[in-house]
Amino acid sequence: MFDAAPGGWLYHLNPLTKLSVSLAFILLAFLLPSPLVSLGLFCLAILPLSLWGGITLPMLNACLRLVAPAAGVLLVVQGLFYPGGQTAALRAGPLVFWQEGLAYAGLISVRLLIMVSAFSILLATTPPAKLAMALQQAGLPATFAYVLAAALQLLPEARQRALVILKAQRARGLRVSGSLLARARAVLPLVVPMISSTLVMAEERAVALELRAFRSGVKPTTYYEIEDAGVERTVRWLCGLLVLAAGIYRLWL
Amino acid sequence: MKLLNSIKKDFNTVTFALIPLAIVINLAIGYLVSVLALPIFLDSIGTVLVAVICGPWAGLATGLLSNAVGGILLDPFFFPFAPVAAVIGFVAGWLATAGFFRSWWKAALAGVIITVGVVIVAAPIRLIVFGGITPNSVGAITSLLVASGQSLISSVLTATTLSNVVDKVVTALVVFGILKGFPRRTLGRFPRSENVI
Repeated sequence: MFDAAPGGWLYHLNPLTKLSVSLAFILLAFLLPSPLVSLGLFCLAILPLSLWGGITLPMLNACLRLVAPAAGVLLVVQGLFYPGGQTAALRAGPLVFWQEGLAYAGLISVRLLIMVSAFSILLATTPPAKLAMALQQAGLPATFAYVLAAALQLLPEARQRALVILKAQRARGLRVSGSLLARARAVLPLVVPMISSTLVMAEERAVALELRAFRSGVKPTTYYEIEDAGVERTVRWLCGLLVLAAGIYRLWL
Repeated sequence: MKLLNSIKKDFNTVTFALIPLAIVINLAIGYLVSVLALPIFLDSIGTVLVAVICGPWAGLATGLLSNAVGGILLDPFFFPFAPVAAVIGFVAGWLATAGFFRSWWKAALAGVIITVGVVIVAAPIRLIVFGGITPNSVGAITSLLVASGQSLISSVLTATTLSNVVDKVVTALVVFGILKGFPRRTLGRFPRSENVI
């Protein structure tokens, strides 16, 4: 969804720092009970951070595409049908929007907004491969780091290939539009070749991996060393402490 | 210790080679089905495939990592549903060990049982993270049920069941059919090939 081009100071941070900050924002939004506090978190922390990093536009674009439709449906459904509705906020003919329902929809929408915008800060400034590499340097076993990196690398290509298969089958006369049944019939000729080729590919890749001492247990060295400044470690600790404090506040106060 | 050893046996090199491809299958077929505008997802074929021929723990890992990759590359709403994907993989693997992928009707039944697991894990996530109304077809069905007078919780449970049962039965049958037609020589390389042979 994002295209993390080099440039800007956020790009050069350790992906783990950005991941911790994003997760901390999201957990805080779920731990803090008031939508206003969460909205403050967005306006006073996430938005300035994105401006500073120069990624406000892609971030807002993601929010508009993902959060706006969800919030719209939530406001209508919860506003009209919230079970504890007492005070009418708006009357439109026979329809009554309840204030309590709108407030609840608002709370959920703000949380979704924080979820998408906080992850945008990480994802819009971090190439996926770099994230996988950072996780490996932080101690993720090399085997699982390979799984993550390979999937991240293969997916864009596979989505293209899926579309090519779709077009090829259409050129041969497969109907992929029309009634539900017609579209359902199109699924198998598209899906089966993809899966069977995968099983064969897995066998070939396993041989290639074994030839390169994939599971030898020796920790592989990396071409790029991801920098991890002392400040960044401190920021990560602070994020953890902040979430812990919010959790304690939520549980005991 | 016995469990740890059996997990180690499941994660051989072929398993590690298959998992990323299965993740890609999940997400690419999910995308294709959304292009065709069909009312199912088919975004866990890869997870179930790994679960059947490599065991429940490999299935669980495939589910979790699929949603991590989807969250990173496609949209962040994949992240909160990672536990659901993990449950699909684990339950499917467990059913396969119990012999559910040896005949087509048992595979269909496995799809139904997987749905039960999905509903148990997905409904609370939908309620807590999305307030019950997710921005997709499940959310649309939920809204419809809420509008017809049902409570939010029962609407979420019904909508999740309805939208998943067909999807998971079709998924299980597709996986069963493909493995059925596969040469034993290829299948034999995977750690739990006895589940389907």
